[in-house]
Amino acid sequence: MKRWLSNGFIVAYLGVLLFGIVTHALQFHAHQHPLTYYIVWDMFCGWSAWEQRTHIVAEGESGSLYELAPGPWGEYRPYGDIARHHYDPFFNHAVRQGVNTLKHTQHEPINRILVYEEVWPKKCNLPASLRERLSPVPQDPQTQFQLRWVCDADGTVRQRNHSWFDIQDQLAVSNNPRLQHEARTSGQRQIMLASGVQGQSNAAEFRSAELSSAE
Amino acid sequence: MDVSSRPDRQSLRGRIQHFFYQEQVPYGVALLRIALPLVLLQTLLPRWIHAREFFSADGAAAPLAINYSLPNFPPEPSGTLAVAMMTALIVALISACIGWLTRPSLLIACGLYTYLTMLDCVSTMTKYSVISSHMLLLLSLSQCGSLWSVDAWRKRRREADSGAESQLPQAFPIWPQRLIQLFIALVYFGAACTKMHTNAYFTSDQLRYWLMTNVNNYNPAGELLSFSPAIVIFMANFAIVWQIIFVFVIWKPVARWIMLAIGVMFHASTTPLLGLYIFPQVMISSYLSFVEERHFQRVSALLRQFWSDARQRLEGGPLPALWQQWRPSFRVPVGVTSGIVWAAVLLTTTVAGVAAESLCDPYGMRRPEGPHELKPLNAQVAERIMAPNPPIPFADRLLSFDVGSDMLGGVLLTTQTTVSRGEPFFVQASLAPPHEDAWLNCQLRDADGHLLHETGQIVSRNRLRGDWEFTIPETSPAGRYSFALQHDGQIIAERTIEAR
Repeated sequence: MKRWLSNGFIVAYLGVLLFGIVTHALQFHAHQHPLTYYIVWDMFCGWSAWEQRTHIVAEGESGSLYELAPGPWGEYRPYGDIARHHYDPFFNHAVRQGVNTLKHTQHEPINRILVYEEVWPKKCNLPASLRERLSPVPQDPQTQFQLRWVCDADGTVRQRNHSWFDIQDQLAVSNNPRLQHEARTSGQRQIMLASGVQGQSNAAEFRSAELSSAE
Repeated sequence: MDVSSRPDRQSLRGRIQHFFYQEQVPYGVALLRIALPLVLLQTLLPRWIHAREFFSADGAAAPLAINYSLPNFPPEPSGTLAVAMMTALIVALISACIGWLTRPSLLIACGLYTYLTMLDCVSTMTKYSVISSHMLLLLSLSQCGSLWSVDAWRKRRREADSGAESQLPQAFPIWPQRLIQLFIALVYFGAACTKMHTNAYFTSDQLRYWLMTNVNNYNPAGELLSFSPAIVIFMANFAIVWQIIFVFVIWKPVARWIMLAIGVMFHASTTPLLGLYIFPQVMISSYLSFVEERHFQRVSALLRQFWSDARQRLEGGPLPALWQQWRPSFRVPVGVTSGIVWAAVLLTTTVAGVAAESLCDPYGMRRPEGPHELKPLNAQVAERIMAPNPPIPFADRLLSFDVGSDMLGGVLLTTQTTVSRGEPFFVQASLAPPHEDAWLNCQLRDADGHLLHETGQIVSRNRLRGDWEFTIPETSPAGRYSFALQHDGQIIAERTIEAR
């Protein structure tokens, strides 16, 4: 009996591992369910030439802007020199961090939570001694900001925008007179959609909107 | 201590049976049982005080399932429960490390660790946490607590008290250890598949940008290496070959140690190159599962010899006498380490942990002056986010503009500042994606700034490089020449070379 159980476990376990390898190799339903994260080995799969940071901001009734992350009780740096909220590359969890900070602080009435993406070229991360070996020598970065989320103080989504990277990709494609002409003749005013989900939604919809931006 | 049946080892079934059910003293998994919790505790202890914020409904948990469009999976605990679970997890890992009620400790650790990490994909869950969950599960099925553990000590005490002859160390079927070994090999194989899907891995672009990133710890060696694409390409190709063949050759006695030695170097190098600390520790610890009985016996024979020589040298010195004088003579009653005591310790520590966290008041809600006030946004940031973005200078979309003689994988092998007249060389512009389709002009000028040659090309948005081949004729004078890269009428980069 014990042997049967161990045989069963060995076959089942190796079967699950092999399933993960095959789905990943064939890119077939490899990211279907969170549990696939346990059997798909896609470490360091993504890359970018631009460094990305997150700013979670509250706008008070007075018009003042407040920093919501890190919270005023202190920041946690999980893997290096930057705080936790910067490790959310898809911006799926940023609004909740802002709502949590509002929940545990005293403040004036808040009109909106704004989530910004900030990017700059990674070559600007290099120390001065190494930067000088590049041509052109990178100057201090002129960072780019992109508004990703606009929410009420309770997290209700008012506006959701594409990432800076998506917009750059779309600009690269749409900056084409032939495409622009074809879009115009088919009744489209512009090729690129600059913003995604817009309009009002309740708190329950917030979650589904949040989910729709998942990978 | 191989007591497996050998007669049918020629058949496939017999060989598989021998592979999984050969009986060995579980030295390897016992070492892993000690090492892995020590690594994980480095990540969990600093997060303990943040448990409420990171893992509970009373905080800003970041469930992995959200990224997969699956809400409420797994359900989020209350703040107090999250702190209790985090405390119990830490106690269970310590208990597993010392081998006290090893199997229940590992099962608790595996369950809580997997559950809690799934609730914080932003700052706790990574692939090393996933690998650790697998290893905790497999360790819990093994007999890793039968050696170097409180459990083994209790068993020896019981046997001594009953006058029975000690059965330790005992041999067990090796299948859990084999599953850990296979698991590691398949992780590498899967990682190789990822690399195969990433074209930029083979051209050094992906790794060069990872080496420049600042999201991990300080990595000065990595930043320096990002200027040597040839080395990066060589290392990348070497690593993928190593990852693919690992699962096939790790079972060969000599190849095993070579593969593991390469693995240790590979993972250890990720600390200075990429700023990773925990991932290499988890992977190098996992290699302990490849230690089998025969390896341990060889090492312990060497250590015994060394110890015997050392003891001979020490005898007659003051230390042995002192040891005899001060040697602890107390006997811990076996009952003190029983399951009931273990459960009591787990429970008491968990309750104490919850109370301590409550006293710490991580959100500062019970401060005499009241909850924290919001911090005003830094004025510079406030100004920037409100202003429209400035246009992105094309120079920001250019990583580098270099001169070199040889290409490897479409990338300049080395950059140089001198060239030989009459010999061809390349000038290359490396672009940072995303970039639009661009017309790039490359101009060659002499020392006086006179334009000698000009050539251009379209670098489409899906290409990362534009390169031009030049030859400075032997009839031209030796001396200084310069290349300029022009975009939209503007010179955005220059390189000066010496022609000999």
